[in-house]
Amino acid sequence: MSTNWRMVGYVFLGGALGTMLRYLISDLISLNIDYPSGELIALTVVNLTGAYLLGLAAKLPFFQSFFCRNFWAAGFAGGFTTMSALTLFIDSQGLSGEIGAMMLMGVVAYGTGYRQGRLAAKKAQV
Amino acid sequence: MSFDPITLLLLIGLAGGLGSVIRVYITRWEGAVPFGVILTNTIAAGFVGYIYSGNLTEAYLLIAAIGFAGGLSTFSGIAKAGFDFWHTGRIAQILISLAANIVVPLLALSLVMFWF
Repeated sequence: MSTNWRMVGYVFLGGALGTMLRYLISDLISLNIDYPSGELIALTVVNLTGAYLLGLAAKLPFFQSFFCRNFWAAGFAGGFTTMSALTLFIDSQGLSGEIGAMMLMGVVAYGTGYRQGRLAAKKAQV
Repeated sequence: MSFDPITLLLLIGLAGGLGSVIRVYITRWEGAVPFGVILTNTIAAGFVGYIYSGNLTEAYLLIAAIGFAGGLSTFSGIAKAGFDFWHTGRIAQILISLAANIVVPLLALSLVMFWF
């Protein structure tokens, strides 16, 4: 199997940027709001934004280049969102309705981005 | 040993980039439910369980948990898989993949924390 090093590099840079931004955002929120609700708010903000961005990247013409597909979609939107922190949160705080709502809202956020991107792509074609 | 904030941030980014590259290769495995996404989230959760039951210092814990495991696990991939099933009208598969992405990583985390 040949490795596409250009793709690996873009994904690495995008993932690094997304991870650093997620750390900063969750740090900023947890400085102002105490642990259980602050962590949940930070996870919701980060995950829904990342899902929306990935949906936007699916069809929006701006994101269709090789660089943008790997840097913004696979790297940034993937590294920005997290499931391991959510799993840890569920393990310590228990499964609640908010978590289930977040999972469903993630699909909705992705769908919203997807539709907006497709609409913009259609407008650009005409 | 602790780092100054900028070095810590850069090390978290380095670990996150590494996790992201591994994730992109694993999530190519798709099927009736997004097996690759479930697998990366499970590996990340197991890794978090393993490092939290060890005795790492705060800085290394942040780098490994927020950086590597956070970059390796993905939420947007779950949303993408769920929406793709929505397109083809497969409601049951949406619910199964959402539930599996919570239950399987949680099981891995609990088992790893129980064993180590």
